[in-house]
Amino acid sequence: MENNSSTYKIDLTNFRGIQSTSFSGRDQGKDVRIDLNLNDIEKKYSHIIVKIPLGTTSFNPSFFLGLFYESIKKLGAIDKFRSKFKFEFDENEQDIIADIIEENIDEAIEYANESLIDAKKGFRI
Amino acid sequence: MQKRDLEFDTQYTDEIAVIVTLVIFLITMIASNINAAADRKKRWYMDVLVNPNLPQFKEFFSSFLDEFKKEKRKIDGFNNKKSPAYTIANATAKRNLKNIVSKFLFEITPAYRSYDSELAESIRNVIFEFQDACTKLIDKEDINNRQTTRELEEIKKKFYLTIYGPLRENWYERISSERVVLWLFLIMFLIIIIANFL
Repeated sequence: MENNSSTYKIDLTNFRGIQSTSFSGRDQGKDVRIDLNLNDIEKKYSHIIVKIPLGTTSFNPSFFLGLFYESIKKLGAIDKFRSKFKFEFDENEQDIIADIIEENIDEAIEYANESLIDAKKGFRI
Repeated sequence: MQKRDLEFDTQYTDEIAVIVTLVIFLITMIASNINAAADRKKRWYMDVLVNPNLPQFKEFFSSFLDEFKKEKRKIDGFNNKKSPAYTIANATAKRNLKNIVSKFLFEITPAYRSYDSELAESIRNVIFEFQDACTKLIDKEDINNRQTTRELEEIKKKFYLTIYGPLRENWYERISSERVVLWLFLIMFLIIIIANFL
């Protein structure tokens, strides 16, 4: 993990699993959040870069929500999350793969937005 | 003196009987009103949100599994699992499965969200669980068919249990008004007997 005064870089390579090429599971996402100490990191840094490992074939919404929903909830708006968290691919990553993963992330952000709207209405904790 | 006591006891017993009858009437009314409202809500849920969507649920699971089998066959056809072509095929397979999930959630969840957002979220999470299980299976080389079927069946069962969740009875719905009346009659009977002995 690299960092400077206002930007912190998270590399998810070590969290993908040895034989897996995808990120999945809400609990797994939550575990990674704890391992990364994301609660403290997001307080300290204004920008966070998330590096998607080379050869990732899927970034499932369950994992995304486990890892980032708390951050989205704290920030209170999707726009704020998008400006604070940036997703970055390996320079050798194939364009089609990057497009697929970006699509995965965009959809997961939409699901997070739905949950956020419901939480603001007071239906959920 | 004894006659006055007896008159007092009789009057006291009558009052208790009236009060208990009134209490029984009120409790029965409240219990049946609560049960009727809960029944109406359940009937509405069943008619509007469950029955019309049952074919769609069935269609989702069957089309998802068909697509999964098709993609899995394609993926397993690759000899070099480290080639860029394999990675693209793998990611495309998972995207195709994800698209089925997105379409299903787009069609199903808004109606459930309008009814109960927590329920809609539970439904979504079970579907994500199903997607996760299949995503992992795409990567897996040796699939134990029986174990896989059982695993997917379990998630499917969980999905239907979530859908039927609002139809389960609450604790107060399990108290039938007839049972309440019977118990209150028994209590009233005992109070009258005890009052007569005092």
